[in-house]
Amino acid sequence: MAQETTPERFQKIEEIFHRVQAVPIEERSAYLEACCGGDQALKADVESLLTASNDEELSAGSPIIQAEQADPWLGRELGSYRIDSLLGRGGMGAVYLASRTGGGISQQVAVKVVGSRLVSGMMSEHFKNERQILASLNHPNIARLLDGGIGERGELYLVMEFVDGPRLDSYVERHKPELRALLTLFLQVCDAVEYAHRNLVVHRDLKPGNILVTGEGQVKLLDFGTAKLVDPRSPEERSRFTQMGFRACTPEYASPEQLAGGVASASSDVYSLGVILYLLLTSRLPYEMPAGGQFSGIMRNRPPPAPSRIRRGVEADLDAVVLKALAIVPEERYPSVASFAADLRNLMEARPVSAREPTWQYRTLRLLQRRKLEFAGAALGLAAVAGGLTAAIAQSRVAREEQRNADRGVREVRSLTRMLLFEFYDAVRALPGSKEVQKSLVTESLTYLDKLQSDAPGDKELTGDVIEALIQLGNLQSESLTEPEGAEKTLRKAAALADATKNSKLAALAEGNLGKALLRKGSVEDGVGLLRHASTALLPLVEIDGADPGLLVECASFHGFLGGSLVKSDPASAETEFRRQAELDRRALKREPLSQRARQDLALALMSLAGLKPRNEDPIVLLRSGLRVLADEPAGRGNSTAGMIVRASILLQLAQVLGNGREASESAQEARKLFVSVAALDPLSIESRNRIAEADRIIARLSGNNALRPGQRRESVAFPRRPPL
Amino acid sequence: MSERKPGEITRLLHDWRQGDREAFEELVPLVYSELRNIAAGLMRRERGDHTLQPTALLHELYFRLVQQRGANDWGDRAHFFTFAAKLMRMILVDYARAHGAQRRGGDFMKLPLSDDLSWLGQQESDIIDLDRALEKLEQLDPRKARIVELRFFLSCNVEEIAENLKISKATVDRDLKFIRGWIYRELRGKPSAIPAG
Repeated sequence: MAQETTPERFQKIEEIFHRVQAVPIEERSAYLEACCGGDQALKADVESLLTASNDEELSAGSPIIQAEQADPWLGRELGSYRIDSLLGRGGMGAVYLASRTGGGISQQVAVKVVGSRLVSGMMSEHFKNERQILASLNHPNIARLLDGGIGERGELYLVMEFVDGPRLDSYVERHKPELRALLTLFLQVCDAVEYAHRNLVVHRDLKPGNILVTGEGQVKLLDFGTAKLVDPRSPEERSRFTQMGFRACTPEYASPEQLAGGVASASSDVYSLGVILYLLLTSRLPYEMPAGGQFSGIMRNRPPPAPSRIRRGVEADLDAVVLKALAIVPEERYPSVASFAADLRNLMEARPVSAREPTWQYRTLRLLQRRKLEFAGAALGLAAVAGGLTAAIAQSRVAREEQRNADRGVREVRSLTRMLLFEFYDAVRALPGSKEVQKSLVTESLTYLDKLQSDAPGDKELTGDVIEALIQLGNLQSESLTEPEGAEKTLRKAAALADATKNSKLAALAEGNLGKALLRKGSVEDGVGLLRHASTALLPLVEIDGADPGLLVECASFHGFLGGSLVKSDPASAETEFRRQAELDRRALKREPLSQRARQDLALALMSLAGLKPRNEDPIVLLRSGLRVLADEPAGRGNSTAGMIVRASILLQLAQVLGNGREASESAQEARKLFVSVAALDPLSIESRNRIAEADRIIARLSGNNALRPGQRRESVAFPRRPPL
Repeated sequence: MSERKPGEITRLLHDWRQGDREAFEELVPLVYSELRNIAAGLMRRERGDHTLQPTALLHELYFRLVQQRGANDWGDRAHFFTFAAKLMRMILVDYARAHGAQRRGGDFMKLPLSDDLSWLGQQESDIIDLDRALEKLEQLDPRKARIVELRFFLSCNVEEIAENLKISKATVDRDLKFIRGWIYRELRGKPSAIPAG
């Protein structure tokens, strides 16, 4: 620059720059002249900056390229899917259109992604929910979960059926179906929700944006377990996870009890469905969102205008049905989606509807009045109510607000801890050489939980979490074999806590795991006793339809350990135990095909059985079916270390049992290769090096056998050691 | 993190905020290698190897570095970001100095990391020139230099910058508008056509 620029002059230049930019182009030149008041250097300076600014904008490149560069996910591969384009972005992450790579079949899917490990991970409680829930749902009107997992950089992702179609409300807006067709469409939504309810899943966030309509006019429900974040970019949310204001619902569609911070139930879904039907019928919401955006239950103390007043041709019966679904008090609504749907069908078939009762409005109002008193009483005590009803109600709102905030804090820290403990623990577990990380995860979680517990003593759920954390910590201590005393202590503490809080399920789990730890330590008698007791105690929870798959696997492992300890002393009982293990793992796997643990344990159980050489079964068949179980793992899930070890162990045993021939030597070679990979991943593991040596011995023996004694099986097959898991 | 010293990092950040220049020097080795990894990941921008946004990584890094009771307040985090942006600038400039000579213009890494200066990085010397321009800007208007660091070396968005520097979003927008033109002139523009008056 000609004249030396000082900070003051720089400021002046900038000021004029902005001022000139604010005026229309044709006036700029004159305006600039006037601003500079004869200072030619200043004028030239601003002028050149204006030109540069213009050029800069022009050279900024095409927006398309920019958009592509801006999104780091595009083109990435997650599992066996390649991300093609962005479908939408929400508080929790983004949804992409992706295609399946390889396999020859081109399949378009929707992939929902939550980014990096920890920070965004905190938002992933809902994500985790969704995965579990969707995996258990299989209905034509619910978008199917195809796959899911953790990417190589720790991202969580769900692969879902891609629904190519508009939102339900846009669809209705565009096609303007007549009433009957509209109700038929809506009944599909009801079917999906009803199915979910039958599977004990409450959607909690039903809204037109979560319901799409395919080209064939089929409704697909999306977004299970998702909650919208208010705005992930707002500072409060990023600065403290406790402030991450999860809003598990969309206010316009949420039931009054949800808005009041209460528990969402199936009845809340009925309400949301009512709002949706109202919207579809009238193109407007029953209660308009106020400008400020604060939607509270208070505004809903009156029923909305009847749909017939907005849309012609709606009969009084339909009014009654919609308004019954929209009743403010849950008890006044349809008791289930099924009964709501049934009334709609009645209506379509011109049968009387159950909603048509003359007194419902009156009763609603009465109930609401009663409720208000109850709330006030609960929040402040009877004295406050006696002191003045108006004041009490006003104050109770404040009190509830505070209570809710406090609860939310606890809930969120809790959900974070649960995630650390369960989601990440499971992810980390699959990594090699991660015992230390696992342990620090669990101890860290325990610290959180301890603190939470002291803040909220007597919280049963929290105590449950503490017990579960203790069990996991105990297992880790026990599995690392370096601190058997610590493991025993931790697990005994877990059992005592479970007993004290009368949590019989967790008590049994603690006991069983203590039994496993004792067996590892060599205390066979005590261990077997505890395991027997624990597996018996779990019977009523296990022997039911729809038993929790996690519990099934856990109980199966008790039987597996029992079997392992009985192999020598009582082979017949050992066989029973292994069969029981296999049966339970099989059931777990059926319910949760993505569970690697169930899969691996089932394969192990089959291997253990083969080792016993049961009378009626060929060990070779058993071993091969074990390999098949492992190979059946849904695509997209990587080979975990544990999976590799199990596979290698089975292959090695197969090689031994076969004794000679091509399959035997190929199996042994592959087993060796797998053990070598495992050893490379976890160089500290002595066990895997031992197994390589073992494989080498078997390979050497096989080549000897093949040369000397073709066609003969080796007789002495050592009972296989259970692989280090 | 080879050495995790949560308490120490928090203390150093605090000292630095209080104006202790040496604290910066002490902070560098504690954060350097992690940031370098982030930078390296960002520079390998070929398709399929896109990683995460630097801000997301920074949030995570911050969490891992200073996660402990009491170290979670926004001030510390904003400060950490300012620090990280500065450090990132150093790393990238060093990198450009070391590798620039062997690279041809076209395949030079996409730098800086923001998309609004997409023309930058087309010429080999751009990063080093940008660094020089920033030194000049530092003298004229330090706040603008901070904005450039956050925007172009950490790809913070306007909101994040506003929070970090405790200024309004409108101010950030306004400043950015001006700075972009100014940087373009510094790096691409011809010297002022008007001779010294």
